[in-house]
Parts: sequence; structure tokens; C-alpha cells
Amino acid sequence: MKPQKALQRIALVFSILAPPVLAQLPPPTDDVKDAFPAQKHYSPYAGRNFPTQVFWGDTHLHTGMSMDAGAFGCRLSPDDAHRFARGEELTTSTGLKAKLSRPLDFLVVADHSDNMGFFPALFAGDPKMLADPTGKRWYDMIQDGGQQGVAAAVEIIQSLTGNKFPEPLYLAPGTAGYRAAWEETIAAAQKYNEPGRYTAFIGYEWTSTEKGANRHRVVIYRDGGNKASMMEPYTTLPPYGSPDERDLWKWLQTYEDKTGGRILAIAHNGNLSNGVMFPVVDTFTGRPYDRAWAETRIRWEPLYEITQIKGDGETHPFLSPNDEFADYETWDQGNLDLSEFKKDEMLQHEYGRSALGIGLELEQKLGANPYKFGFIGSTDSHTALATAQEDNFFGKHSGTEPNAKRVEHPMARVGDAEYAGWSMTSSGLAAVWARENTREALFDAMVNKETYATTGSRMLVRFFGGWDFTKADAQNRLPANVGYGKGVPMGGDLTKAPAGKAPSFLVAALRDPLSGNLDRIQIIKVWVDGVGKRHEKVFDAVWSGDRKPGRDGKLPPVGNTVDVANATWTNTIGSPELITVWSDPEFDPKVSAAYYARVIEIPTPRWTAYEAKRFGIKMKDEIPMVTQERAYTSPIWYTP
Amino acid sequence: MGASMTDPEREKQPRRLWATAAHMFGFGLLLALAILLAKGPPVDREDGGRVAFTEADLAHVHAAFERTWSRRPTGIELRKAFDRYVRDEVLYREALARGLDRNDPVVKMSLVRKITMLGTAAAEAVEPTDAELKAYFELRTERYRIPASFNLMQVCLSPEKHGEHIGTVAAELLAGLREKEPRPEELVELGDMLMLPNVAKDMSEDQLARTFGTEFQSAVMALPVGQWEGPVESGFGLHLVKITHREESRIPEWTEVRDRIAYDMQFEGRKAAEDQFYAEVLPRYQVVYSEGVGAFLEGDDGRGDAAP
Repeated sequence: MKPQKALQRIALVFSILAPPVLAQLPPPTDDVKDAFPAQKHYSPYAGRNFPTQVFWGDTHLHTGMSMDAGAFGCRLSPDDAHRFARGEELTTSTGLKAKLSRPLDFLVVADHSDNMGFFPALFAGDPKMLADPTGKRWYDMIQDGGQQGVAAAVEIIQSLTGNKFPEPLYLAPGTAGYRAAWEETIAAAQKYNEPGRYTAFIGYEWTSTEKGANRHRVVIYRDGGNKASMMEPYTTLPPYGSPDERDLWKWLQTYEDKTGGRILAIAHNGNLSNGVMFPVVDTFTGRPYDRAWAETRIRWEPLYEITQIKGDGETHPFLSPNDEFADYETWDQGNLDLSEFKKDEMLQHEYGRSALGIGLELEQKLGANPYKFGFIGSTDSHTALATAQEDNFFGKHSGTEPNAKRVEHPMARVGDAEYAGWSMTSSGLAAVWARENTREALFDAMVNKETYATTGSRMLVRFFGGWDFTKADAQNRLPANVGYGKGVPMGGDLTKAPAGKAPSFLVAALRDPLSGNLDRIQIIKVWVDGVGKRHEKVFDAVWSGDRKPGRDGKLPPVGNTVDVANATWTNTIGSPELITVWSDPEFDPKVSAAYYARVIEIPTPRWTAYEAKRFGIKMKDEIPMVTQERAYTSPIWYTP
Repeated sequence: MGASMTDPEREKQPRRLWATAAHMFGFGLLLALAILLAKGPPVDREDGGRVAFTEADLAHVHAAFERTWSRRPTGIELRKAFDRYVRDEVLYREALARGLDRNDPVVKMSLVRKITMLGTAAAEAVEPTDAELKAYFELRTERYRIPASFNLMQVCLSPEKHGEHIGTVAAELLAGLREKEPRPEELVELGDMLMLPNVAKDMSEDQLARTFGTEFQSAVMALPVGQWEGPVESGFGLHLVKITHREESRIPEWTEVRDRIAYDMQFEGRKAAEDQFYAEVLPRYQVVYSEGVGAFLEGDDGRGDAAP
């Protein structure tokens, strides 16, 4: 056995190349015809080479490996995080029993790369170590195996910790503790990744908080441990790291060049960036951007995390005064550490919807659209527990796990400013349309933006754009067949408008069996006019019941069945399924536009209502007790 | 106004100068005091503040750079990185000398993790034997049970469309299905539209619940195999269901789930080793409580709010 292999095994039994073989369930397949008697007839299911399944996951979860999560008391590891996501019951850091209502299909453990882990461990090994007497002795001990090997492991760890490591061997450890943390993250993902059943992505978070402004990106690997372990994660502290996202992109490029792997980054919490998430000029130098910058950004950042525990990022009431659903879980006090308060002019550079418009605007100027991204939601929870369901919400960090006081206590406090506990949002989830549940299939779907975000419930949403959809297509029994046949799915592009035609969209949604019925589906259009002014408009495309829009063009609210005191509701209003074909009545073939669908559920109890009921507490009037869960699909773009 | 300046004002001039000087002196003192308070007094080192760096440190910085970028640093890059390394080391020593590490929650957590890791490394290093895996499995067979799975066909009726007649419609449809036994691909024309599949293969209990809801799943579990049944209710409407094949739930052979058992043992082993390590360390300390704390620990039953 090679010395480094022995060392690795002895150290943590992290065999990072171990193949995941837990196949106790057959992988899901979209080829159902084999299951039934042979058919001579034409089968509508044959030859369906498009995604037939939605996979649910969280792309952004922290464990005790993240320094801040650890400081907040999170004791759980990436192992725990994966076990929980796969559906197992777990004891949380504060000693509560926790289990998901339904397992997740995939998870990215994304611990902060800065100071990741403090686990000292054995180094990866170096042939040079055998030339050193101490190295040779350790090697022999390990070769003996058993207790001798264990003793060697402990001795090595101690010498690393005690700064007594033999100098000739010092090259090898490099940043040994750091390395070990990264290896543990990788090892956990390798161990629990089970193609066909559960995808454990390797990833980390690059956490640039220059001047308190949130520029964070989650980095996700398509690859397994053999590639991911070739380079250590990028950090924000010079000299090895940088707080500038352009340096992160360089690192991503280097990773792909060196390993032949694939990697992407997802930004989040523009709402806490004080205007630097979706800028129009370089926020470090103040200089205008160029085409290369725009192309690089969208090359690495195909998705944006539009909703999570620290607020919803679709839009803000200041930006969308005519959108009655705009003020949803709004977090707009200031930057992340509340060192600078929010100004109105910052808001347009912080939200997903306005960024789509800025992207079109920059595309006119630069020739490339830096903000042509799709949407996903995730939790950003620091508890190792990916919980986004209102009745099963374990909070932002271990200090905000369920207890009678968490609603009142601030989630975090900086000087006089604070984030109220009740303002935490039980959100969100990433939905990915893919053909199978593997790292490769899910990653490729993310790159293609065939994804949508939800605020925690699992509604099924299809969204297709094309030139030939007709009302009859909404009656078709197989909307995906007609959708892919006549158009492009969410995340896609439309160009070259046929003369006299406007784009039409086939949109369908099915409720989450555990959550509320659907209130309506809306299409949101974002465009830039001839004089360079940005516009947005919300269209109600289809809704439940026989409501008629009022004189102001607004559809009346769906109603409210929530019994706050008992934290219940009934699905006597709304509709379990909505489907329609919507065509743009104001289409101008000369103008670029982005369209996305927003699905709104009927009102259901917010997590605070469950909290009040379970702990028997009286909530202050300011605390919202009812929510309307929603989904945001990736846009479809029209370019002349 | 210099020319028109009157005598009394001229007399004041020296005093004003004095006052200014006094203010400056006073301010200087305050500033010095503030700096002293903020930064603390200069600390004398027994070793004369010697911080030695060797080739090993340089090699360390070199290696760290290489780990991040997967290439060697240029001379300038290495120099910059090393400057930073030296700077960090000096500031780190200064912080230690001033005791800033004491009671820092982050440092505390880090050290707790380190010691726990050390204490549990031995437990983790041991790979379970086959006999141990088997024994562990046999005590917990239910945990490894493979759920039942189904091939099924379903047709859904929407309560919105049929209202109070839905029961009758369902009964008629069921009779039709039993009589005609439509092919799977024909189902799409029956019942009402639903985004969920009419035919599903190898759906486990779990997947059934996730797709159609728990209500539907438990109803389907009780249905006989081989003919159209129903109606079965779900959040989407009333379903008529035919199970074409049912794979019974079973306890696997331990070898089928060998890796999972090993992961579980390792996982539990780590947790147990942490507790054991603490139990071993604890006797080396005499944990002493003040009277008030003792009274609290004795008297409080843990329920309700603790007194401030």
C-alpha cells in the first residue's frame, strides 16, 4: 500500500474515491413502456428525450465546518447534512429531533471557504517524507497497521498542532488543517452521492463581504472527488484569495483548465449587497464594464438564488409599485452587517427582476448580457438542516432552532441594528428539470437554466415559449410533449419573430400535495424601450375560480381560509392545477424582452403561526402569520 | 480687522495663545491615552520579540499558493504572499501576547474541535469487520428495509370539473376501465388532465407519497394487484388505479447494504467516541460551581424560563 493511501485511510477513513454503491432502489427511469405488455402501437412515451422529472434540492447549506455556523453552535457535519437531506431523522445541535417531510433529491454542502473547518488531519503524503527519519518511522508504523497506525495518526496530528512538524516534511502539509476540512467535505459528498437516488454535490461558498456588502457566491462542481480535490477552494483573503468576483472567475477558469472538470457559481442575497450585486459599472474601480466582463460573468454564473431565509429577492415594492405581490418577505435595512443603511437608488441593483432589465440594457451597450440567469431558491441555513417548509422550519443558524423565544430574539444584532427572529423566511428550494438524478444531469440542467425557485413548497411548474402555441395546447394531455415540440423550456431563447406573430407561452402548474392550492399564474415581462428605459409588467395569465379583473385590471384576491390560532387552512379555494397559453398582447419585435412565470399559492400559515400554536405564545401584531408560497421560473428571453 | 484692533483685545492675545497651547497639550494627552487604551501598552517579550522564519515557512507559503492555483507562484507572487504570511504571524503573536485568544468564541470552538478530533481519531481509524457489520445489521434490520415498489396506471378526475357528481362519474369510469382494459398509452385520453404521469414504473412507497401525497400512497398500499380499483383520493382529485406489479417490501441481505451499514457504524462510532473522550477528560478537572449555580442545577427542573 502506498504511504499516502495508508495515511489517508488511517486518518479519517475518507476514501474519497469510494464508489457509492447503495443501490437499493432502482433508478427512476422515464422509459415506462418496458413495465407493461409489449405494445405494437405508437406510444406517446417512446422516444421522449426531454426531462420528465423535477428534482428538489438545496444548493446552499452550511454545517459546523463553516466558521460562523460553528460559532453559532452548529455541531453537525457534512455527513449529518447529507443524512438529514436523504430523509433520516437526526438530533440537531440544540438537541431536537428533526426529520424532513420528504427527502431532498440533491444537496450542495456549501461551507465558507475562508477558514473552512479547523480539523487538523493527516496530509496527503509525499515521497520525500520517506527520506526523513520521522517520516520513515511514521510510514513503518502505518505499515504495521492496527494500533501502531492509529498511534502514528495521533502523533502526526499532534506534531502539526504543536508546530513540531519535522521541517523537511513541511512542504507536504501546506495548509493541512484546511486541506482536511476540504477533504472531509468531499468525502461526505462522495459517500452519500448515489446516482439515480440522491445527488451529493461537492461545493463551497466564496464569501466576499467587502465593506459589509454581500457578494457571496456558492461554487458547485459537476465532478467527483478526484477532480475537486486537485485544487483547494478559492478564498477571499489575499494573498491566496480575493474579494473581487473577477478573481473568483479566474480561479474557476483555472480549475476547468487544470482538471478538465466543470464548475459554476451562484450569487445570492443581492438584497444585502447595497447595490453591488448587479452593478452597471465596476464596483471596485468605478470604471465602465466591457463585453468581456459581461461574457465572463454569465459564463460562470448561469443561475441566481432568488429566495432564501434572509429574504426574498424577486423584487421590491419600491421597484415594482404596481405589483401587489412585490412586498414579500422583504429584507431592506442595509448591507449584510448593517454597517450601511439602504438607499432607494441601491435597490435596482439588488433584485432578480430588475437585474433582468439591467442585463438587457447592458446587452444593448456591451453586446453581451451579464445577467441572463435562471432562478433557483435555497436555504443558506447554517444548521446543517435543509428546512424550508413552514411547519418544519429549523431557522437560519443553531441559535434560531425552534424554541419559544426565537421569534422575539434577534437573529443577529449589530450595534443598535438587528435582524428580527420572526423576519426569517422559511425558504427556499431549487427545482431542476432533468432526465435523471445524477451530478451530471442536474448540473447540465442548471447550466441550461431549466430550473425554478420556490419559497419552500414543491409545486410542479412547466413553462415553454414559442411562436405557435394555441389555446388548444393548454388542453393537450401531455403538455411537455407539445411544449418541447413547439417551443423552448424555461431558461431558453426566442429569436427571429415570424412576421405578425407575438411569442406565446404554455405554462402549467400543479400544487404541492402537502401545501396549498394555487391562486394564479402570472407572466412577468421585463424589457428596455427604444430610448433605453427599463420597464416591467405583471400579467395574470390564469387563475382559479371565476374571478374577473376589476376596473384597474387587477384580479381580486383569492380569499383566505387560514385559521391562524390553529395553524391550519383548507383547500376549498384555489385550484390544484392551472394551465394556459398566454400570448404577449404588447409585443414589439424590435425590442428585447425577458419573460418568466410566477406561480402563487393560496394563503397558508406562515412558520410563525405554527410556532405560536406549538409553543402557545401570543405574537406581536407586527409579526406576519400568513404567507403565500410562490414559484419563480427561469426566464425565456426574446432577442430580435 | 487688524488695523482697527483695540488695546483690550491685544491684551487678550497672549492668554489666547496659552489657552490654545494648553488645549493642544490636553488633546495630545487624551489622544495618547486613547491610543494606549485602544492598543494597550507595548508588551515586552522575553525572547526580545524574535519571530524567526526559515525555508520551511517559505516552502509552506509556496505550497499553499500551489494548492489554490494549481501552479507555482511567480517570484513576485511568492514575495507578496510571504510578506502577508510574516505580517499575519507577527500580528498573531502580538494577539497571543495580549491574551486576545482567551475567551474568543471562534478560537474556543476551533480548539474544541481540534481536541475532539484528536480524541476520536482512533475510533474512526478502525474499519468494522464483516462480523461486526453483520451483528450491527441484525440488531437493526428494520432500518435497512427496502420499501415496496409498484408499477401502476392511474386516471384522475378533477373535483372542480365534476363537482358533486364526481362519485358517479368515477364509478362509471371504473366500470369502463374494467370492461375495456385500455392500453397504457390510451389512458391519457381518459379522465381529466393532470400533470402527473398516467403510468409509473418502479415507484417506491416514498416516491408515491412524494408525487401523489401520503393519502394516496397509503390507499394504494392496500389495493389488490391486477385490476382497476378506486376511487382513491389525493390532493389533486379522485383517482382510479391499477397496480400491474407490486414488489413487496423486504429486509435485504446484509451484504446488499454493506456500505450503508459501514457508514452508519462509523457515523455512530464518531458520536460515541466524542462522548467517551469527554468522559475520559472530565476526571482530570475539578469542575466547581458557585453556590448560586449549584442551587440552580439542583433545584431547577429545566422547564419554563430560567431566572435571569
